[in-house]
Amino acid sequence: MSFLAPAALWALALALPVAALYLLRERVRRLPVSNIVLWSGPSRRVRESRGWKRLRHPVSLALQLLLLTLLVLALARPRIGAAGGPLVLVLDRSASMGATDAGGSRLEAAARALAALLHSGSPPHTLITTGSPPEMLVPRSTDAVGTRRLLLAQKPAEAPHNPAPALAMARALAAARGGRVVFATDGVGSACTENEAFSGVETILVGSPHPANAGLAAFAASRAAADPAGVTVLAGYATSTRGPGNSTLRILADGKPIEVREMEGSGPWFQQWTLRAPGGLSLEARLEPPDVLAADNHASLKLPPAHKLRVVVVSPPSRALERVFEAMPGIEAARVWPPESLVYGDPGAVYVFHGALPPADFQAAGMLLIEPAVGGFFGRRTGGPLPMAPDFADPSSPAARHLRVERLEPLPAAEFDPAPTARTDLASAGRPLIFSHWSGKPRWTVLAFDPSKPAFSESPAYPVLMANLVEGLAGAPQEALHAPGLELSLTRLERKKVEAGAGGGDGVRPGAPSPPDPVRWLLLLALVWAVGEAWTYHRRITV
Amino acid sequence: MPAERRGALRGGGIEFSEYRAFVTGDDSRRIDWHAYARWRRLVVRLFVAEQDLHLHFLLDCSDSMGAGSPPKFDHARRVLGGLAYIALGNMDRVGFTPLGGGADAALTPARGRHRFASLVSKLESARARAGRTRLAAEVSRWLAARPRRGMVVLVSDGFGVGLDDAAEALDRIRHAGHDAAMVQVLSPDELEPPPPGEYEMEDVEGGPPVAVIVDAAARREFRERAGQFLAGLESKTAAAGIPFLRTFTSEPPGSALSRALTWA
Repeated sequence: MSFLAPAALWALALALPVAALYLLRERVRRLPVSNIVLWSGPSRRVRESRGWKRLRHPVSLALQLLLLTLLVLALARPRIGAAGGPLVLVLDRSASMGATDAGGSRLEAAARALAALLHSGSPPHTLITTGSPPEMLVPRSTDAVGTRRLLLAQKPAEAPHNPAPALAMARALAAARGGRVVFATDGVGSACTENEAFSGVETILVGSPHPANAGLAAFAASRAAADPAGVTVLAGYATSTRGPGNSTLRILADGKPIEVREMEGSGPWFQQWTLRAPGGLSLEARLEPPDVLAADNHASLKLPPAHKLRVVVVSPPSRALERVFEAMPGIEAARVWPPESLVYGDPGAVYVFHGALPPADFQAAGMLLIEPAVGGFFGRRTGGPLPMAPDFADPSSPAARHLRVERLEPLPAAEFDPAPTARTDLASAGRPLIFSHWSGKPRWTVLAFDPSKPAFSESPAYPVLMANLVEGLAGAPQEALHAPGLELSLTRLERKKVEAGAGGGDGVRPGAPSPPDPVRWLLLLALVWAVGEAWTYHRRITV
Repeated sequence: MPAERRGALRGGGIEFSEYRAFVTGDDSRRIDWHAYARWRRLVVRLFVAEQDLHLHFLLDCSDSMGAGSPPKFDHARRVLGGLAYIALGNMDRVGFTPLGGGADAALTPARGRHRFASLVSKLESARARAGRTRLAAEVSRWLAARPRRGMVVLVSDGFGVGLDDAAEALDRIRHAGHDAAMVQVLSPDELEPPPPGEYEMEDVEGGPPVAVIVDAAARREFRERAGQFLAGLESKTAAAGIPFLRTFTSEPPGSALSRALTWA
């Protein structure tokens, strides 16, 4: 057992004056009487109980000292359990902590629970909040008052947080300092499935285990590169309630409703709308009425005005290439030849190199290399051209979007050994026909064949492929998202794993941060004793 | 000059008392011939002999008389002095004896108002420090000196050796042929138990201290015993026809004297 206020134990020194007063105080008064015979009865009773008379005063003194000890222990605030080492406190600040199903918000309940662990005289503590990256608000301090104030001033973030990085940081600190980690959370989020994250962590759960929440799971708008005036709006809805929801979803564009729908069922539900808005656009999604978590009941975004994508074709005159770009209203195409006249690259433009290679360290949003004659940063040319029939298209590849492989005729293509970082979008018998690297800047795609040749340019796939490539190489579609990962449904599917995975300390405690407070028991004992002592005091003068 | 007090003796006074048959040796001049004419019997007239009243005041000088605030002894002396003054004014012979005091502290019975000064002097010099006094024994010691028969007024608080000591002393006075009376002097404090607590009670007349725990039961018991003691003394004196006056130190002496005059 340890004490949260050990300085109070000095009050035990009061036992000395209590004992001194008790022993030195003249208990028996001398009284002269006219005739002692009138007191013969009571004096006989005293003689007959001489043994108890001797014990009565020491027993009374012992009871007085016991009362003093109980009160001092209560003031010292004893704590049962592991409380000796430093504390590493982790506060979950994810958006779901804004739910108001914990007598105030969940974040407030969690902050209060952690603040209750801090007292004057408590060991040094550290405070970390979840986030990307996690934030260490208090590196190491003994200022309980200041840290409590900081805790209670925290607000929930606007997005979900993965607590694993914060917990890993906390565990490392606790291991280095010999302390323990206490994590206050509502247990919501995919990270709660990771038992390893919670190993050795004492978890305090806040919030209702069965919340009812409906929220916007997604809200985004984007313009197609081929037709920037067209806007696609996506909205998603999810709920944790099992029964039918009772929310109304409103989608507004520039303040005018484009959709009002009564949401029924438990979700999830997603829908897209298409509008024409060449200018800037304000979009808003609202779920009414608001519920326990207001953060996911409203979303808004602004889409900037449409602008044309610049495409620079570094190629000798090619009618097929010019024709396909002219057919894209969202494209502003230009041709440059010879390649030496290309002085510098436009980081916002897509460059099509046909019969040329880009200079070293070329700046562009994306590059499309059409059947390069030699290898380069993209890989080695190993042979060809050979007739190749496409037999594989990666369905997740944007370059292969809408391509129907079975409709593609065999076409002459060179053989390439792509760079290790490239991915194959289209292949023929394992030989890449289209391969790309879009995870870095600038993005690049290599076509092992010349799409401008009639063998391909006459096919209906030609404009689709070119539009896909241009759009994908641009890399930054004109879009707006409300917030990454809006899904804030409060389902606690993984709560059991949180409860099972916590280890060390006192385990998971819903709500209250500390074990049953022995202070209350001590005060209760002292109160019962004091009442009993007062009640029997007048009897202690009798035998 | 004889005191104006009827005596118990029959003698040659002028007040007719009764007739008696003539016997050989009676003075023939005392034969009532009118009565002979009526009854044809020889009878003699007897007359009441007027004599002096000897009033003996016995003052209890035990230590218990010094208790109280104001002390009972002072109140007792005042009441005694007042009674003595009245008696001297009636030409009675008044004597004073402090029980437990020496012979030189006593005053032999004598009449006359001039005796009052002497009595006062004796009262002033008396002290309540005779220690533990057995009233009956002190009265017996006084009776051994064969004082002239009269009225003996015992002024005491009644607290002697045991609660019956005063009643026994009065009995001895009566058995010695005296008329007895008692003035009991008490202090209101000594009839009220002390507050609850632990005490070592000491009898003011001596003896080892006694441990007493005063609680509700003890207080109740004390009041009962004190009530029994007071009632017992009253009933015994009433049964014996002994005039009894109880006075408290809180009562003005004059009020006590007024009540005492009803004894006459």
